[in-house]
Amino acid sequence: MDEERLITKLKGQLPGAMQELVDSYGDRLLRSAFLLCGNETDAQDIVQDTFIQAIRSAHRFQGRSTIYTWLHGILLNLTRHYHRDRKRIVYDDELVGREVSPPDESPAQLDAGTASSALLEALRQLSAAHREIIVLRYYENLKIHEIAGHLGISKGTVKSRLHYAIAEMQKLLPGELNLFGACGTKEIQRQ
Amino acid sequence: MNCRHFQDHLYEYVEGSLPALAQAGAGKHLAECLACRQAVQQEQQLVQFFSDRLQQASETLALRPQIRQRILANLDRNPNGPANNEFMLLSWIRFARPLAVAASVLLIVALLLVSRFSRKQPQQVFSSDRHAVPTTVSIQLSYCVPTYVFRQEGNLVVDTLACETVVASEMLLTSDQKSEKRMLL
Repeated sequence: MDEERLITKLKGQLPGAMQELVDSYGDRLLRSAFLLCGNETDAQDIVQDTFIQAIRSAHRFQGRSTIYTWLHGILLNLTRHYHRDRKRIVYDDELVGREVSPPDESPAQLDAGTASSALLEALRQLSAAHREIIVLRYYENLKIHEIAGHLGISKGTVKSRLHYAIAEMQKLLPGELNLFGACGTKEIQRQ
Repeated sequence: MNCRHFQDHLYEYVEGSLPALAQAGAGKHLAECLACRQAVQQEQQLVQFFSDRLQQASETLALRPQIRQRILANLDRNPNGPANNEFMLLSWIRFARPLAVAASVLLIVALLLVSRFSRKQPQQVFSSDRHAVPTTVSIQLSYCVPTYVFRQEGNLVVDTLACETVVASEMLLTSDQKSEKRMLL
């Protein structure tokens, strides 16, 4: 895909620009939004709002980052608003979820699908800041300095936040998914 | 490079973003340090594990056709029209609450000041009955005279602030009484 051509189309609000933008980045943004907010329906709405905001601010896009990074910045901002709004409401099912949240210590081996589900559940229980850092580092595969730029924090803060996020994840994951143990990641790798 | 220095740059080493010189120094340290080699291996496994599992957890998701339609419909409607106004309204609402609080505080302060100063002013009584108007006005003023007293206690100079209240009172004649006096003369 020719990014420069798409940027020109966006800035000029040429027909088909938005369609192309949605086709190129819609699914990718949705997956990231899903990991960031933990709910598919809300993720769909967040992505919709992301594109609407993007087209309004397209004339301000300088082209210093890739289109995806720019869109993801908008998405991240909207996700933060989403978490802020949700904080005001405590749902009953969330409270129930918290009560059953301690990791399952059953000795049975986890298959890859179950491991993904367990990871997703643990991710949902992390604080928004820790969830962001995990998604940016391990899903978006951003480098430390890129995460720092994306979040507007120092590289040291990124590393420290990452360290605590991993430690928190470890507490929330079942025993078979010990991220640092001898039978942890290696077991998963073999599957 | 020592272990602590290496651990500080572990993430950058694994992602390959260290400058060439630092990368070479890290490589040299790793050749000699088993603990740091294990730390690198662990981080590489974490990257692989998280990446695979998160991809798997989200790979089936796709943007719904209705959402695509809504985005494009919103664009067709008016890219800078009503939605922008809505955004402006939301921005205004965001500032409305602190502004309302500030305005309320200012109003309360203003009311307090007005009530305080209005109490200090001598009350004037107006009456349409000419005979009821007093011929003399009694004025009484009380004020505080501050006095500093310095005294020495050992090596210290201690100051004391005393406030003496002085009351001055005077009787004033009203204009009617003055004119009556002039007539008598």
